[in-house]
Amino acid sequence: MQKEVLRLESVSKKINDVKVLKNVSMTVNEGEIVNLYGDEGQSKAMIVDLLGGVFQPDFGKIYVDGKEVGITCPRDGKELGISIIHKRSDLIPNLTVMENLFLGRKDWDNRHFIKEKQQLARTKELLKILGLDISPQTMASKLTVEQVQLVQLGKALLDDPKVVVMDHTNILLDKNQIKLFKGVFKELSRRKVGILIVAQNLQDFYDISDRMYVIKDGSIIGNFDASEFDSEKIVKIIMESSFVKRPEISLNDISKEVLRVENLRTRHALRDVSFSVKKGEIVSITGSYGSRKCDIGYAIYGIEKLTGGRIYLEGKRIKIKNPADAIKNKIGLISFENEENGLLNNLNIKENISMLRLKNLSHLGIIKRELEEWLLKSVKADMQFDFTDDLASVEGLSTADQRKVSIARVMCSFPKVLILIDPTKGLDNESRKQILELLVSFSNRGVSIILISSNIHEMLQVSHRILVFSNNTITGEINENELVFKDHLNIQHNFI
Amino acid sequence: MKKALSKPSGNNALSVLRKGVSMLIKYDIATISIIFAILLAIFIATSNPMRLGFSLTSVSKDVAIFAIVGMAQMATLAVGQFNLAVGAIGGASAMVCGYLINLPTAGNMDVEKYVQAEIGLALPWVVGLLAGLAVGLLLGVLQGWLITKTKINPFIISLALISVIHGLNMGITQNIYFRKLPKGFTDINNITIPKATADVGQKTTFGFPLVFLITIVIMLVVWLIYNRTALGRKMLATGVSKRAADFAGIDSNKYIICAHALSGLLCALGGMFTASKLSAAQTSTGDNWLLYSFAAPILGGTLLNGGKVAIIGTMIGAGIMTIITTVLAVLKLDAFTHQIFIGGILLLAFILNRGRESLSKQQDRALLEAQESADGVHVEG
Repeated sequence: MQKEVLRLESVSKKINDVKVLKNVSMTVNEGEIVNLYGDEGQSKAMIVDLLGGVFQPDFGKIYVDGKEVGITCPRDGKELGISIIHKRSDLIPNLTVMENLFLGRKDWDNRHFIKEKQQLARTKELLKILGLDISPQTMASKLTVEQVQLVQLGKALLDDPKVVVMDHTNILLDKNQIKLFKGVFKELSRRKVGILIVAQNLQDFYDISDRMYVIKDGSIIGNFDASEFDSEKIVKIIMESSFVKRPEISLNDISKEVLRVENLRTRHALRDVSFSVKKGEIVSITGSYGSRKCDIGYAIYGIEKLTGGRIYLEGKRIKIKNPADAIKNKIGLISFENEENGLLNNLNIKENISMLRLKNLSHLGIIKRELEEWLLKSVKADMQFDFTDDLASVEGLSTADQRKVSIARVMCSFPKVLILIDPTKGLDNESRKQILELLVSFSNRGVSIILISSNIHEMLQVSHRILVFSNNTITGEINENELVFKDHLNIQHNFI
Repeated sequence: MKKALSKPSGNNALSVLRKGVSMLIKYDIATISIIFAILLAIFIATSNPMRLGFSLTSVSKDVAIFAIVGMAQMATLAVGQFNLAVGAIGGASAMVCGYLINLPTAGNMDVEKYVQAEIGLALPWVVGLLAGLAVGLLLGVLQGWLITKTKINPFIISLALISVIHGLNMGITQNIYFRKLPKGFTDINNITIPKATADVGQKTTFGFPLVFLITIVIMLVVWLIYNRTALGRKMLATGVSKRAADFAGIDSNKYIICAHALSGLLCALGGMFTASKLSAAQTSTGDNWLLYSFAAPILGGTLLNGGKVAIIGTMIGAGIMTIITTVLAVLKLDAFTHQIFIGGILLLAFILNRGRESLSKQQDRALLEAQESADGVHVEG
């Protein structure tokens, strides 16, 4: 019997009256690699936050090394030997790798002076374990995304942890990235460190895991040993409730091309990106974490400056210098990357929704209030939105409602092409379904949609085609015939 | 259903009180209105009744200037920036206006302590006023343009511009005074409606000064800009988040320039009001504005980081500061003490604002919970 290092016992947590975790119990043993898998939602991130001391459980207990503990702040977790690798970088960009590694570690300083030699030696040793071929003096800002993650892992290792928790939600890794992490995890496992990988993509660490928990709607619904892994079954369990019917493109529309881009280039992210979108078609673009796939949307919308390439709308070449040009040409974009929602926080719902149409709503610069009311009413009726108070500030709305306001706003400009970036990120199943259904309804109405996302499941559900973006360009395409439901596990493996 | 509806209105007196308190917390204007009313009451109670009318008239002249300057700062705060050069722009406009309308008097230097300008174009004062406004507008546009074009931190640009504008102003004019301003111009300050009397030995009466009335009109226009026009709403949107505004297709740079232009225009007006009040255009006009320009809008509830303006609040904020400085003057405290007080009040306003923010968030949460529990009753019934 292995020694248990981390145990959650009947943990429940409520946030804003939503039960995020319901009676969750799980254990991680010494040297064991445990995968916590579940579809997108708040619950997995909440487990990470509980272990990291961001939140405290309402009910239930957390045990470390068999002792009951209370983790009330990030430092508590650290002192107990729980190291968390967050998905976002917590490195300080203008410090070197070494300085970052030893930041705030008094034991590595000699009173007020830094023990540079010892630190350097330890850093080199760590970088070797991590398989990183970089100098300890490299500035953190110069690191690539996967290097940043690995250095964070190194930082976690310095604590000599009992458990490493890897927060991997919302991240698509490519094969090389996964390989790097697998190597490190195996090494850690040999050193008797318990590892909890919180992942959204089943495939990533499937083969090195000893055990897998499957979580859905806040409850653990499965605990599988390595021998029992049946990926198809697991995915089916997860997917069941959130299935959305794919829109049908009527045949006479299929030939009609709405948007075509040729050889798009930007200074940083894009090299010769070309693709086209037909009327009413939903085209998804996906790529690994850090691939800057979102820049395709930003380039078309005029936020990222193009250094080359052409954009054609319905056969005519158009020039887009800024978002205003894009909106004029009936191209809309909503981005939910980096927790943002594109909304204007201090303004109310009405003001936010009418923002794109102010020119048409006003006469001699003065806004006609009855026109604004009318617009709001028709949009709400059209999308079956119901906000209790149209004059409420959007800041106070729930995430799902904020997204609806964003979508309502962009739909006010009657776009022919709608670009969406991570539209369902962080939403619960029900709201996610609602948003996807909205997309499908827009598509049925003839709006062409470019969906840029990291969530493979949802792309598979609603898109007609999936484009794969890597190495700064489009490297693969999965068309409608290949998008059969049961194949989808392989897609990530084969294309990304 | 009926049961659910009647429940919240049950304990009436308490709920009314609670509602009142929550209103005060939520609407920024209410809090400072009460402070203003208390201060005003103290001021009236402690003043010499014979001089009261006169004092109030002169207080309202000062309120007008501070309110205009406060709105000038508010315009830039609305887009999430600030205008440190309020005073410099005001001074420059006042001097341009002064030069254009000054009545030159030949060789009359003997009695003057200061160097009095013998130059001046003696143009109609309306021309001078318009020219002064144009100067303010141009300087505002320049500032906005520099900020958006160079992408240098607005703080640096504004700081540099104070120095440049003020230096040019002093250098060109050689720091002279324009003291022979036409009567029409000084009347802006002197005329009151109804006519206030200030005869020695008699009870003085109150009249609204013309500057005050003009300020009210301007306040109304500014209110209309922010609440009814696309321009105002886009400026606010830019202030909330430049990036979000860009995503919404708003040319945020254009609206930043607009905000600085509006700010410059109001600074210029403040400068000329000051010249009218002193019957002299001088380079030191606006030297002490900076602190007041921030204090008035912030006391009034304008957000420092943009996206929200409080126009009536700015006026009341200006009123609070004027009364305090007047009281301090009556108490014969020196100007330095005034600065300590105004600085202290500004700090206090910020602390109050913080408290108000967190309180109003708590309120929202409590309201939501109350609603839900009410819904719960509704379902059961």
